[in-house]
Amino acid sequence: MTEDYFERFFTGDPLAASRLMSIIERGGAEAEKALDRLFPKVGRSYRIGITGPTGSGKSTLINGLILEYRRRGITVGVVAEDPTSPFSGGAILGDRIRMQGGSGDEGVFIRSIASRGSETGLSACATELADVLDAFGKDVILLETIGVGQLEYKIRLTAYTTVVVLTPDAGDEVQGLKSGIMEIGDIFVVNKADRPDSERFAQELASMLELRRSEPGWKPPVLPVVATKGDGVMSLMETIQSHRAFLEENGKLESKWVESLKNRITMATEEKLKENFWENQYTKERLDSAFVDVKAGRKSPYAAARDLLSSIAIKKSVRRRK
Amino acid sequence: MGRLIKVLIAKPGLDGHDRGAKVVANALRDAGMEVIYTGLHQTPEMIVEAAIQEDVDIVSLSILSGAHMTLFPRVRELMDAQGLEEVPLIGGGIIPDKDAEALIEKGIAKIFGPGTETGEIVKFINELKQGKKPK
Ligand SMILES: Nc1nc2c(ncn2[C@@H]2O[C@H](COP(=O)(O)OP(=O)(O)OP(=O)(O)O)[C@@H](O)[C@H]2O)c(=O)[nH]1
Ligand SMILES: [Mg+2]
Repeated sequence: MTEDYFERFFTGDPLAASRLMSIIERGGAEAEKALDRLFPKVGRSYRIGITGPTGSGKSTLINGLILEYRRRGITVGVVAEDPTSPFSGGAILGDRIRMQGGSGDEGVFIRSIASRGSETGLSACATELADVLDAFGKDVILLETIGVGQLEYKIRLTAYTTVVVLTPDAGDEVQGLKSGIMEIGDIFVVNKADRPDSERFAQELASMLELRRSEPGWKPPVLPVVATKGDGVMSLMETIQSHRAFLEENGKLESKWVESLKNRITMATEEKLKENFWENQYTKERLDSAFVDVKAGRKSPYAAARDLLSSIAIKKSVRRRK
Repeated sequence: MGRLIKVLIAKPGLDGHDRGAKVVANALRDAGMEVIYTGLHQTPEMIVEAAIQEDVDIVSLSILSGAHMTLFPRVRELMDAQGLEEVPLIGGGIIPDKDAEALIEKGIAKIFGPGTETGEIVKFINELKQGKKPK
């Protein structure tokens, strides 16, 4: 079945792409097999993060960007993440409501995903869905995620350019430089610029950003936008282009990609180490006996942990000597 | 990780009321499902496109405009033509029993009449999913 999807995927069948995404969402060995197959084709699209507080207009803005890119013949993939309800584990994913500009256009593919209790910021699965769209041949991938907290740096691991979308009433969110959201933007959008006080807010924002340490050679611009009317969207697209050109000229595009790959290898290895370690029968037995020692006061929990880990170290050194 | 039941709730046609659709969306969310809601005025083509891109397990239409006899079969037809033969189509709205029967005959899995308790919809979807072989 999966094999069939791959064949169709590589001929551009959107349903096959969608089914592969679901396989990846389900996780486990099947998901990894799918990613193994896709990865030779991953790494060609330009990934852009769109983040900001709830309701700031991220989806409306993405709709505007879709139209601008499509006007230039650039194909677009979107991964839109919405929060999972902490009460039921379910979710209402409503970002598509504001992204209808791409409907009926094969050059656009939009996929919604629930955050599934991952901490705030982009989930690992959203990155993998972006991989599928990348391998599927989309030129540009827009990743929408709600950004408020400190953990937003995660989006930087996936996106080359991060756009932070704020509104004139977002004073609280940008209070001081402590807010993580101020640190992660390469470009800041003041959306709903049709509202009063937007100019003053933009100025405040710009002056706060001057205090921020930023990459040498790139001063994060502040752009006024009215996403519902499309005002300023073209200028945003051009600014994203400039940022891309900046990264390319400095070899930073390449190094960001390399960094993201290294990060993914590390994370995947850590996951596997954990799984293999705890599932191992030998570890389980040692854990039981370590527990007895700790309980009896013969060992501290830390000494027990060192002993447990030493079993891995021994296995390794034995292998090396052979 | 696993995956939750994923439902597309769509409002085709011209009527501008989506209160009912939103109530159902909330109920399904509260029952632990993932709901894709696409808003008002969807064409059958837009609905099927969203169903494909989201790979939903089930599509539900809410129709109050009276156009159910054309819209339901049209969506079903497009779904079948585009590889979604196995995805059930259900719906609700102001639909007389006689019409509901005719729609069932045309391959619509279930029609919920006005005043249906949301619990009944949740139950139906859960049972449908349990009885279905995985894709
Ligand atoms: N006045 C005004 N309203 C806007 C503008 N852009 C978006 N909106 C409105 O703001 C509301 C939220 O817009 P969305 O695009 O859904 O915002 P979002 O950031 O994607 O929201 P979440 O995904 O829920 O976090 C909608 O009612 C939009 O119509 C704008 O430029 N001006
Ligand atoms: Mg949104």
